[in-house]
Amino acid sequence: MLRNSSTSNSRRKARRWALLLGLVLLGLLLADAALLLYARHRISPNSYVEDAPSKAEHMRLRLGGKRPDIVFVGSSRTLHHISSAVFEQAGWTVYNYGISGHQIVNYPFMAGAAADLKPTYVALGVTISAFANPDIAVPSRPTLADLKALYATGQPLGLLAATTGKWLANLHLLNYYSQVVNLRLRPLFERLDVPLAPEPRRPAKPVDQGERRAAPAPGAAAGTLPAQAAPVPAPGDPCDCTPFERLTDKAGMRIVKCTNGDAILFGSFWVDGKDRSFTWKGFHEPYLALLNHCLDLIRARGARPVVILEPFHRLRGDYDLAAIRKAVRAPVLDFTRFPLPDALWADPEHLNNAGRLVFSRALAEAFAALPR
Amino acid sequence: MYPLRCPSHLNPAANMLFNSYSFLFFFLPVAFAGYFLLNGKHLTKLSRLWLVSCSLFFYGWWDPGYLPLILLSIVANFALGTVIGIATEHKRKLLATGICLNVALLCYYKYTGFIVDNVNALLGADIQIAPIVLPLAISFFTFQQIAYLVDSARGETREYDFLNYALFVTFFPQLIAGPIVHHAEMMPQFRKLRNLVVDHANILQGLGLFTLGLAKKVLLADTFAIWANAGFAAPQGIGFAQAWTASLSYTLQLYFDFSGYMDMATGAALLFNIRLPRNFDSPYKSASLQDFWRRWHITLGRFLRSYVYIPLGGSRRGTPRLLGNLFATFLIGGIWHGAGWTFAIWGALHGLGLVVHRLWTMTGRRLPPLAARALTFLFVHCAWVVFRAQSADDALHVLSAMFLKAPSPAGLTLLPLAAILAGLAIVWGLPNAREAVENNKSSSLGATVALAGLACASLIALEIRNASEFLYFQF
Repeated sequence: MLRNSSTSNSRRKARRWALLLGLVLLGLLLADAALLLYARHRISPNSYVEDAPSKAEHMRLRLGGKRPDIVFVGSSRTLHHISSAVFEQAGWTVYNYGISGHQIVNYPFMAGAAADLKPTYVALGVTISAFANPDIAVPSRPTLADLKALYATGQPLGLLAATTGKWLANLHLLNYYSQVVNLRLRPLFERLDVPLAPEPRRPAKPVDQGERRAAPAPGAAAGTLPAQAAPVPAPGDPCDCTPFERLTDKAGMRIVKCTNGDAILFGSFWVDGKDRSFTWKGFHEPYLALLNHCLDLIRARGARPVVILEPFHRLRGDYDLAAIRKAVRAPVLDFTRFPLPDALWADPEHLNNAGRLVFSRALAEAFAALPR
Repeated sequence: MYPLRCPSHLNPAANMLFNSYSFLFFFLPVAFAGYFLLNGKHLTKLSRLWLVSCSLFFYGWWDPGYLPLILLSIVANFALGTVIGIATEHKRKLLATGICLNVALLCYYKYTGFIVDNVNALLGADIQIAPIVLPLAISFFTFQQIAYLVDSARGETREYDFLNYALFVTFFPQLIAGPIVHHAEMMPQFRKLRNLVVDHANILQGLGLFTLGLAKKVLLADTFAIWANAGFAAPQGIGFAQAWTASLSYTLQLYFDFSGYMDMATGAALLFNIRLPRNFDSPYKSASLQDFWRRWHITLGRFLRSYVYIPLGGSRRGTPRLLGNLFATFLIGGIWHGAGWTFAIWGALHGLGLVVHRLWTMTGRRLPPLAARALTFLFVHCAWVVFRAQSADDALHVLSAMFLKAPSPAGLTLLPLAAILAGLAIVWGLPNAREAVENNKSSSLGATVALAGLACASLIALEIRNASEFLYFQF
């Protein structure tokens, strides 16, 4: 009798913990399902979610069956540097398929999605430093196509393992969209935190090295830093595209995301007027293999690949452009040393609103010089 | 230099924390399945070896470079303990050698930088040393092994085999941040036959504790950390309300963080049928400072009492000596927490507090219970300000804003106020996690569903915020 009672109690406990784990699993699946629905809902011709497959869907909806002339594929340096309006004024139909944090490892999927729309050109944005960098960054959100490309090009085992791990982890959509959800929830959290009394004045904190610093105003000598930031355009400043979302980061930098896929940075921060040294040490072969793999993929789908060497803020050092042009299996448009004063940079990596217009005009001219 | 506050050399993305998906969905299930699979086939030695290997893998995940150090420490201490146990002569010398070696190792990694900084400051010297990275958990495994050596000399260690000893030191639930387990309570558990089979009651209780710990860490501690960090980042000119917000947030953060970790450790150990000693028992409900140290980091208090306070003479040599021993024990306890003057001051404050409490007790007077609780909480809370501040100056800024500035709500916002009130209600009004899962109703359907909801909320919050580290990591 005692034994029976003990066995039945043990079974009941076994059922309970199995139920507990089952419910947790169900809860996580429901969260994933909710995110999937939300992401689908967010993607329309006028809005998108910042990941490669979602923005590819936005691109397809936005173009509405029209064959684009150029699709720009790249990272935040493409996203913030390309002004679609400038190209449209020059008679080009373009799409800005740049996504923050997406690098060469994410390009196979993006290049494929872009080439599937049969554009004349698919332009891949890369930086000069990436050619020689011995480490390819592990992507936070790889796709299966990216993973296949890594295996096909014989990438280092560490990168393969880490990317495979990321891909597996991202099957859980909550993990995949965690950054996006974080970005969405933070403003909500801040709105809820209602001040109950005005904040007292506190002495200014001394500026540490590496802290955000204001850029010199246009015309000011480089390297002389005024005490106050360059004026940041007020909300409502004219953009060359229709905004669907406006964000402001803690330092006051404004980001405007547009319905056409562009995103614009306003302001100028962290631009310290210092040169950034670079030493050309030849190619990092795995990087080159991956880049050429993407270019071949574009060509195989009937589009013409182009490589854009993105502007590099205050580059000091030299590089072998002839060797790059020889090794890369596509035309290379070199903007590494394109003259852009500090005031046109939002930070040392990205151009601001004014900078992107200058750069886009020059890029449109470079494309016009390519055979159509 | 202040590992408690900033284990910055650790890359959070690469760490396998209890509150990380890699631990929850990969490491723990694999370790659990492997252990009981081997036990099911009666390969008990192999199953213990599996658990040691898993624990070393868990440790090495942070920095495999320190695996040789922990292995060397285990082998050397086990060998020394065995020799001390069987030696008939020179026991004390052998023991002193063992203790000195352990303390020297701890001092080298933990205090070299601090000592050099102070020598430079005092003598105006410019001694430069390469930065020394503190190996994870060195404070914990050093203390555990010192206890083992002392007990070997006392003849209190039994016939332990090396595998059991290695498992006692490395067992992953307690390896990183405690509790500071004692060989006598752990090693018999590894040999117990009943512990080698899956126990559904323990699994249910373990999952319950783990879930409550995860929720305390992710939902509560990490939230309070936002306001605590904001306040302590720039304490100069901090206002009255902001100082109270930051300090109370830290008091709550520290409790939820550390006790949450302990709940997770205890829960994870229970899955393997191992019962870790209780380390927290609603400490903020304490009615005296002595009571507080019976409820806060209980295993540290136990270690300090058995291996510092009593060897110093305890209460056997008259009142002045007793008071001196109390103070010295807590000063050592403070220094153990970290290489910095704030930790030493914090330890000294607690030592002084206990001295005053002892003197007060001798008068035979008693405070009303509510006043005693309030006073104890206030003292502990103020001492945490010193513990958390980057320097004694910073601590003074915060404390003076709390007590010397005119009370004003300026700078107060809704969320921290509501959260602090809720946090205080939890620590003062609700049973602690262990009491909750030991309650008869904890295995009811309603409790299971509630736990599942809490686990989901914690896992979702965890994903969104990304894993953050436990405060006690490098102690």
